Amino acid sequence: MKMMKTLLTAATFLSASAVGSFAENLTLGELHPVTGPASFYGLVMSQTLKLRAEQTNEKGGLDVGGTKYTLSIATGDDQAQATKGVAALRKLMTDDVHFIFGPLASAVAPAVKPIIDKQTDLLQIIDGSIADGVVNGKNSFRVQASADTYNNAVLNYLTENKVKSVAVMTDRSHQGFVMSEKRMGESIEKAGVKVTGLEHFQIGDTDFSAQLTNLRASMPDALVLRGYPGEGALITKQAEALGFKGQIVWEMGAPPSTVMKNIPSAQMDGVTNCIPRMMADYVRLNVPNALKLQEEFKKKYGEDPGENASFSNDAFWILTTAMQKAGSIKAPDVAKALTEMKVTDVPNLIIQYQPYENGLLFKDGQANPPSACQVWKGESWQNPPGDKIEMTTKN
Amino acid sequence: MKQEITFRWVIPAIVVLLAVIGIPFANDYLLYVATIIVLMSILAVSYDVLLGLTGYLSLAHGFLYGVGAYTTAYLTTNSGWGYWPALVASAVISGVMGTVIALVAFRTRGIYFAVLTLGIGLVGYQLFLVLEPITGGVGGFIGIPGLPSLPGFADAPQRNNLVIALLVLAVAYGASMLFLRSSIGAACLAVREDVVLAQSLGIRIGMARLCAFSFSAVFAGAAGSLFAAISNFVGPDDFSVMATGFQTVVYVVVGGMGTLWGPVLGAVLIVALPEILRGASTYAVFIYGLILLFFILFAPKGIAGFLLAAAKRMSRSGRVVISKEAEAR
Repeated sequence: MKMMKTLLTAATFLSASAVGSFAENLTLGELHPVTGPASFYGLVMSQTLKLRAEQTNEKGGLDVGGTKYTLSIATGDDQAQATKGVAALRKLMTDDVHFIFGPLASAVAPAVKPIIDKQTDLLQIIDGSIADGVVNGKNSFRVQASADTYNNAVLNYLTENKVKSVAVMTDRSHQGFVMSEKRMGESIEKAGVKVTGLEHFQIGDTDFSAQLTNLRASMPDALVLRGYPGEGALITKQAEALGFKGQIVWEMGAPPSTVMKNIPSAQMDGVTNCIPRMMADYVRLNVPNALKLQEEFKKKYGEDPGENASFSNDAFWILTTAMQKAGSIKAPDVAKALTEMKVTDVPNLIIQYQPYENGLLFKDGQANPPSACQVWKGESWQNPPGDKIEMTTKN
Repeated sequence: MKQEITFRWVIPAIVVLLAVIGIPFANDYLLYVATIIVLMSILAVSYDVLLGLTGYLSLAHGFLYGVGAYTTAYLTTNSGWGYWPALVASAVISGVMGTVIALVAFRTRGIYFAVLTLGIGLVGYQLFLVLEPITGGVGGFIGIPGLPSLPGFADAPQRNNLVIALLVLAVAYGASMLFLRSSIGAACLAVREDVVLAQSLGIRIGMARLCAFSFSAVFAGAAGSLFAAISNFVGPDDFSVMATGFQTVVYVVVGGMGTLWGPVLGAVLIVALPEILRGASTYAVFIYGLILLFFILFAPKGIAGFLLAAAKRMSRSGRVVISKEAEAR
């Protein structure tokens, strides 16, 4: 019996080492700002991808068509700058990387688009940028929402709450918001809400009194802020100081820690944020895969995952599932699998994507994450009472 | 002085030699980084004609670089121009714009000149954002046609880009040398050393400064034009004061003002550094800051000054050895 056990142990050990030694390497690239001012978004996305790759390797690697692949994530730090993003992408391509997650920054996505469009052996899944016109549905796909999904979240809020008039302030340097500004204004007017004023600011600005004074004069019921949380917090603070009494509606990914750097939490009470549902939202709604990622992320990195972790998590699972469905790691084969992929095909998704016709996950390369509004209470965003989510994925 | 003249030819020769040796073997990534280095070198060399020769610190050159890029983007994308006419038009329009800026800016001097051109740079950046029908606004231009292929480079667009950029750098460098040696160049040097003395000697300082500014603007526009065609995309972020506007000053200061070849080395160091440190990108900004501090505190004449001093020391010690050997005989 003892001999039998020894033999079995030896056989198990040998087979395990055989899998290890025969596993091929597959490098997946990412374009995220892991340093620089946008790193508070990008680093979390990078960490999420690395966590998922490590976990896959611990389970023996990714099985594609009977071949086991050990995954590694090659990081291209684009620092949210166009030229650096192009250099980072070219470096990844030179290193024989054929699959790219990202970018996050809307300044980088259009800059790398001409390169990606020309490559037939390169496949991109955008998990951050909401810029217009950067997805082709051939070799570039996006799990992050489009700018219109962001805008529609606000529009729904305005109509559901019977807001009569609204003033809008947009960050002029935010490509996704600026390019969709006209469309959004038209949709709001069409829904019967009067747009009393449009103003702009820029990331890094600290004084918004001129724009706010101008907008306040038209007495809107609501003030919509579109941009980044640093400026959003300052504008909210200054609007209240200038005596604005209407509803303040944000339209931006806004981790509470970043918000509270620029405004006391008490002053944020009642501010509403209408955007696609993000990581913290799914955790509050007890979506099992979100809770799982939160626990694993916290265990590995000692902190909660940031807002965009859900998009990077899903991008990873969507890509690896497409590889398995295609039975190939050739970019065109995987791209074909993505175009045919259904929302229910992918395990471990956090975002509850609204399926397109026939249950498809992508239409012209764009996935359809749901949006909702959260209200600030205490020290973070909270789901409004009775908020529920329709589960569309395997959880 | 002798060493400086030698370096003025040796450095470009080394650049050309490295390019000739490296181009056939380099991968696309290295070729792209090398191309960006060459573009920044064009900007740096031409900017040195202004800062190095006249001593006037302009922060509007990021804007002028952008004018060249947007002109090419607009002409080749929306108006159907070929690249070469668009390159010339970009250089000319940027030059004209530079002349207009110079006419306004040279009413001031010293810190006021720098602040005024800073204002122009900031206004220019905002114009790129708000003039959406012409510039594409924050979304920029996508789909700008690439550079035309040179004979033998049709199948190697990255190599083609680098070769064309090197040719434009050669033109910029040669033209800068001619400018330096011309009577206007001499007048610029006189302006840098002592404006009042230059005026009292009857030197037309206004014309000299204007020519230097316009000259640098022409090549800033040409560099911008190349950037647009090589990237196939232009967006406003690349042309802000804190991006190219400030970086151009850094290339020249770190490289060595007034030498022409020093700023090329400055551009090589500053552009290549973040790429070399890509694996340790967290420390890249820290190291960048240290380099700036080092050059300002310990090598204020930049890399060029450092190399010249080293060459001087070597030639002196060489002479001492020779004379000792002679004494021994």
